[in-house]
Amino acid sequence: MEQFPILSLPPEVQGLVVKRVAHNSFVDLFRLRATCKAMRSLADDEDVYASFDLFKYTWRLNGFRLRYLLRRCYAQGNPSTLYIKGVEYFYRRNMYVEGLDLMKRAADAGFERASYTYAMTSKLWDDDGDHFRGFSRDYVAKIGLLVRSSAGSWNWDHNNYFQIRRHVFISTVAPIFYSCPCSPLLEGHWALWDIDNRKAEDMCNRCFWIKEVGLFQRDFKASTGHPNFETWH
Amino acid sequence: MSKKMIVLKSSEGVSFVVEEAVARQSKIISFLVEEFPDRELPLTNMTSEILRKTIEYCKKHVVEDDGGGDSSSSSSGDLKEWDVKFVAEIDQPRLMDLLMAANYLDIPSLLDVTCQKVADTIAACNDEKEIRATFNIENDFTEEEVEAIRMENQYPI
Repeated sequence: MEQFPILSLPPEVQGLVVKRVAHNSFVDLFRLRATCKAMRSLADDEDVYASFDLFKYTWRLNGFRLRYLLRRCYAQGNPSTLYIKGVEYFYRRNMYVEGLDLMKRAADAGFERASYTYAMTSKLWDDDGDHFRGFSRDYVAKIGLLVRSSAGSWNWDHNNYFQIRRHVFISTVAPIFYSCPCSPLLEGHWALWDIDNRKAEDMCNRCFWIKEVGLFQRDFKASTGHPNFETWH
Repeated sequence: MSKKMIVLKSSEGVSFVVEEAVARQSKIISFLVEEFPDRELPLTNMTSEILRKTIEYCKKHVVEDDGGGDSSSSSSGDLKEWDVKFVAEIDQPRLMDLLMAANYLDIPSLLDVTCQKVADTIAACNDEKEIRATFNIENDFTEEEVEAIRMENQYPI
């Protein structure tokens, strides 16, 4: 077989190849890292870990260097790891300030699902602010569905404060959606069970946001499907 | 209205006449066209074979982009499928030349596709020895470094 002298490529192109290898699989990256000093240096580049999206690419390593991967990603300010830790801290450990700050850092870094979850969390905990400024209805519906339906096993493991907020929402805010005459109310159950199917797209803005917040409280998972942050250490 | 044509010349002196929109997918050619309009552009470090493949790629992508502005998922899916077939037909030495051409001409999408093909070839290797053999890599680790890497790969650290 004819050879491909990879080390004769310009270093920046070698770096692009290494990033693609990481996106394929970190097992491949660790194998490539074990071939020579130049590849080890490229595979250890902080940019490989800083830009890796744990929700997009395969990160499962069957225990094989998993903690190292997660720790390196977090140490490089990787937005997806900031988000995972933020959700865990806020929704499962009652560490509201730290959790919200981490979600905001991930959102500020352009991590879409963090922007949505941060805005939704801020709205739930501080209803006065205009947390969804700049979000269109279409965008919120799309990214909301992505976040709510993504991996994660528990949507009942939230802290007590979240549960209280949900009960308050069901008893005080959801009825506004059902009594608003903006769009005909379709047959179905009350509360949040089928709030997404009760009104057509022409519902008013207020009802749209009540529906989206209701869906978040119904479906959002406190677990992101990744190992608990504390186990990374 | 007739489309403006650009003449690109390979290292062997073979001329390729291509539509300006096709050629402009390369940021370098786009810049050269602005600076030197109506001039033949010599690409002295590209063989005719690689230049032909590069033009084939650019033609396919410019056709898709001009498809009435329809960016439906099916057309983008077809294009991805075409890209996969395009790089699958290329052997290793020519893949390297094409990757270098994409980098030199600054065609980001072609660079992405070729880098991905290299990454997939690495994924198909069974171990680091096969990677070294395929990519002409010399093992320059000391015995201590080999042992350290073996330990790192064996145990979670």
